[in-house]
Amino acid sequence: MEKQKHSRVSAGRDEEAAGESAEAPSSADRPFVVSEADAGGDHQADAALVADYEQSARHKTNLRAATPGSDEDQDYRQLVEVAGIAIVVASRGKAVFANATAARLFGYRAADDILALERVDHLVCQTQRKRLNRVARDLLRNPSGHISYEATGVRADGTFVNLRVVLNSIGWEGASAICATLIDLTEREEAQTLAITRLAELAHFERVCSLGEMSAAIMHEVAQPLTALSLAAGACNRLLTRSKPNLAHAAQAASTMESQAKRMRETIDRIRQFAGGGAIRTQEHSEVLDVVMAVNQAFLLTAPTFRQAGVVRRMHLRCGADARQVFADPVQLSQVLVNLLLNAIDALVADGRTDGKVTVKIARARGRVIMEVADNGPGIPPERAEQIFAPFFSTKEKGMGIGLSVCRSIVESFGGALEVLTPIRSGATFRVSLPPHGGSDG
Amino acid sequence: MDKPVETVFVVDDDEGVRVALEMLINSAGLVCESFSRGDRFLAAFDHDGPGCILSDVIMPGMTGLQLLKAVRARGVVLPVVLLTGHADVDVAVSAFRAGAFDFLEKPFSDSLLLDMLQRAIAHSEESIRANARKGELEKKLRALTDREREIVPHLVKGARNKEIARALSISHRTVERHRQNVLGKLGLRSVVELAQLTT
Repeated sequence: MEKQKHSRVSAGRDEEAAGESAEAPSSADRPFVVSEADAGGDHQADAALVADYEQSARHKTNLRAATPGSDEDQDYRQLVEVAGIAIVVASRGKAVFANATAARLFGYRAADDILALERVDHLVCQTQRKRLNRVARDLLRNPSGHISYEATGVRADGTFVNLRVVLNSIGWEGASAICATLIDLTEREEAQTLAITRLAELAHFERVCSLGEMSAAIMHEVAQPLTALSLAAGACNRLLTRSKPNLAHAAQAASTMESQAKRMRETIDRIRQFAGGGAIRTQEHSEVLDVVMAVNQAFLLTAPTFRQAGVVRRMHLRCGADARQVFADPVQLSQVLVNLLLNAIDALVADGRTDGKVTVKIARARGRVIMEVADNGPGIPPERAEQIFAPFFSTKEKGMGIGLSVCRSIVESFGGALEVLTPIRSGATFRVSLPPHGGSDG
Repeated sequence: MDKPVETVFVVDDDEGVRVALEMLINSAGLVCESFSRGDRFLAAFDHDGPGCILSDVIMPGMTGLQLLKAVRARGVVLPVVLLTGHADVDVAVSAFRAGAFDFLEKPFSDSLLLDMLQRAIAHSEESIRANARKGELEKKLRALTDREREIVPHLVKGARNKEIARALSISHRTVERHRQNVLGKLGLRSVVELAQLTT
């Protein structure tokens, strides 16, 4: 045991094999495995991984049978068996080893079923077999590196599976072989989709939270037209049921009711736009729009908060309507602006300022449509300028800290950028820059 | 008299609410004057008849609470009812502390508002009557001589003739004569009535 301490299962053989390969780069002389080159022609390219099979009949057997079982060997085999990654070792066109994960990945009952395949390249779809064999041959010629590429695998039932294949040249049973590790990309893609969905859910949750904070203000927005509506209804009723009905005044009251009901619908639509739907919407909602519209929408949504906080807001237009056109999702753009405006108000309120002011400047600079949201609050320390965009960073007690990170990804999805400007005077300035849509530079 | 009619003054920056309030108040047979800002209301306000002031709390310029304080500082007795978009305990407490008559949370029904207006107007009529009595009394107090007026605070405090005489260094008999004159000129039967009127 002690003597074997430093040797892996096949470490000794590995070195040997590597040496052998290096000394005998000519594929023709090679006793092992692989490749159409051995078959010596494109017409046979497909037939691939040379099945000089009889020469090493023992390859038919699996690893356990092939290697005499020292305890250490057993340990390593176990390790390979339980590894979450699929491993297939091929020699002379045949699989000589496969672990349980590989069997699972390709939909076989057991690893032996893979070893029983006529050719190992049957594990990839037909059109890719030539490529696999070429890659394997190159690798055996030059065993130092490894090759990684994406391939379409074929399962036992004939269905396809997206794979990342990493090929290494190793020593096996005293000769060179190809070890393939395989990662199921379908699984990974699903995991990625799931992660994106989670992020979207989180962003949605965050917005619902801030909606909760805004709910008092929104209640105010709904309470106003509802009050007007019920009062006008009361007036209408009185005017019609008195002994001498006043139809003209009743009609006036009815039209007030109508306009207030419309106002409520609009308020609810705005809330729905803000609260509903996925956080990460696709480009299909994008349209050509004047950024002033988005700013106005954001002002409308934050009006009660501004009023309550006693913060003044201003919009400075530095360019004409034709220079302000962008291609973006109006709802998402408004959400970004709402976030920036609410952040500014929060900063001003937390600072206890009584002369709080938020300015939105719209301009055209360096071929981009610029929206700058500036406040006269305490500002952002330069060392935090990037930190604040990181997910889960927050200086607020209630925030989850994903507002700005979501804002940035939204702006970036429109091909734009969101950044903090180095303060010239006091306060914080966030700049949204978007690529213009049509129009002249100015 | 400027406007002896019952008038409801509405101050709300929300046009929809303002118009609907006007309609309802008019339909109930009351006069309504409405304003979009507190300062405009204060500049135009000149009414000594019965009525009520309805004011929104959150408004640009002057808040409902500031309006209430300004109205009280001017000695206007009209009850002030504050309307608010969302009930905030702090605002409610400071509203009542500042002398608000009532506090209505939007949205409220027309009947609730009209009931409240009725109570508020009745209250304003009562205050006007009390004010009139007070004014009358003040006029009569001015008709007293300096000496007679001098003993009024002592009488109100419930001091006895002997004590008043000692305090003012006059005779017991003089005090008694002043007391009779004060009650006679004010048309009162007892010192208790005087105390009730002057507090």
